[in-house]
Amino acid sequence: MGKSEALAHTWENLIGKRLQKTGRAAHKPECERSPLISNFEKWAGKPRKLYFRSVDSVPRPSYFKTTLKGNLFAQLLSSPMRLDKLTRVRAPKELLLQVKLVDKSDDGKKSFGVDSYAQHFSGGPTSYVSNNETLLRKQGASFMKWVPTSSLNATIRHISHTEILQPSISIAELSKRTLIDKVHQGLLQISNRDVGRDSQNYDIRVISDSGLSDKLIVDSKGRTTLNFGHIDDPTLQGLFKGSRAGIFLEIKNHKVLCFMMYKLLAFVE
Amino acid sequence: MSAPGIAVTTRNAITTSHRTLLLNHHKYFPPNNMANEYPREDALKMCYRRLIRLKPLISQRDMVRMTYVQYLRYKFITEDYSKKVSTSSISLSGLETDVVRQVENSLYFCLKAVSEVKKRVLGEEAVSQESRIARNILKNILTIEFEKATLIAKDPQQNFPILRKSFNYLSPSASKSPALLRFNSLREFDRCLIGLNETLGTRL
Repeated sequence: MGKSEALAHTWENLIGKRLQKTGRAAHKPECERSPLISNFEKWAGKPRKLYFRSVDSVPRPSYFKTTLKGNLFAQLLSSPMRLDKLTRVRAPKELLLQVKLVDKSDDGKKSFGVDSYAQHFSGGPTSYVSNNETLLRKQGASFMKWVPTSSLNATIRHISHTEILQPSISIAELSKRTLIDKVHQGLLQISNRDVGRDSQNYDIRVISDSGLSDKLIVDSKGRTTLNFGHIDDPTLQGLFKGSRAGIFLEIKNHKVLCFMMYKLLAFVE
Repeated sequence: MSAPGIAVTTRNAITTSHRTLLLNHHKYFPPNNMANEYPREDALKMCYRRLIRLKPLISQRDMVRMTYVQYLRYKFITEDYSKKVSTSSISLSGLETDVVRQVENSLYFCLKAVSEVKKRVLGEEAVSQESRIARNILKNILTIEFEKATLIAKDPQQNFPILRKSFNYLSPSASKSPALLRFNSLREFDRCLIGLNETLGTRL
């Protein structure tokens, strides 16, 4: 027996003995297919969704009274979140007031002013502030805080703090006026057009009843009633003189107006 | 025309390059007629378990998942919802008063928020839009809850009673008190949420 053969023999003996001792045999997987493949969704690291192949199988309990699309609150709550500059808390932007820096230069003198908008629109540096009259009046003196940060940090067009004018009337007053005006215009159009309308099919009813203490009433069919009785504005109240039942609206047709009315109610609280 | 990219299909799910679409949903759905067939306590526990099961579907981020679970715990264990509603002084008709029904509806709302329908199926757009709105609302609720949790962590002695116990920030007189004015955004949000709960019969 050569030296190498003898070594190999010993080696085999050793391994064999150890294997016999521990009783360890070659491991055969128990499952037919690796869990890495059969449970691929667990470690794929992708966002998971429940998948439905037909519309009928989607969860739709019968007692959801209205669709989310025709629901004022759902529409308000689902708008994207923005930071409120006054309270430093984020909120859906339809619950906030939009503030923009606008160019008010005249006679070659550069100047800018802060404007608030009831109806949101995109474009230009924008910031958002609380939709609350008390808060706006209180913080009115420090209106520099409301100026969109991006317009002050711009490198191409430098705007210094001295070029931003103090508003002639307070922004709270201005916002209130524009809100009331817009709501008045919108409601006037509707009340002129739909005088003899069937008042069964509606999502929102607008009334003015100063005897009622609630501003927001949700009835048993999931419809919302907005009460403008506490807003002392003669032009707005004039709309409700003729009709005791109120003005009826559908959200799908008057989405912007509905948002504005809710905003007005929240503003004058 | 097929969508670009590779899809791995297994027994439980289809995984594409963007997302995993789960095919077996039975463990997420409540049993039929749950409110009548099970005792109240059991039905609530069943809903809780199913809502917690939805955790991996809510978000990929740990922070959002944590907020979701903490919010559920708070809603099921601590919150006094009727007090919250009465403090807000919104006039409600009180149509859906059964708590189990409300919780079941909330579960359906969350299911709607995480579901997806096959594209280009008849009537798909309307359903997709609904689930998109539901998802946005759920995400916004979680963001607001995170804000609340941050405020509470900053000053527990002052903020915890206001935001979680007495719900003073919701009351109509809150806009007159300077201490509560800084919760204005939270207040507007929660008032809207109460309105939404009332119109849908949920308890989010």
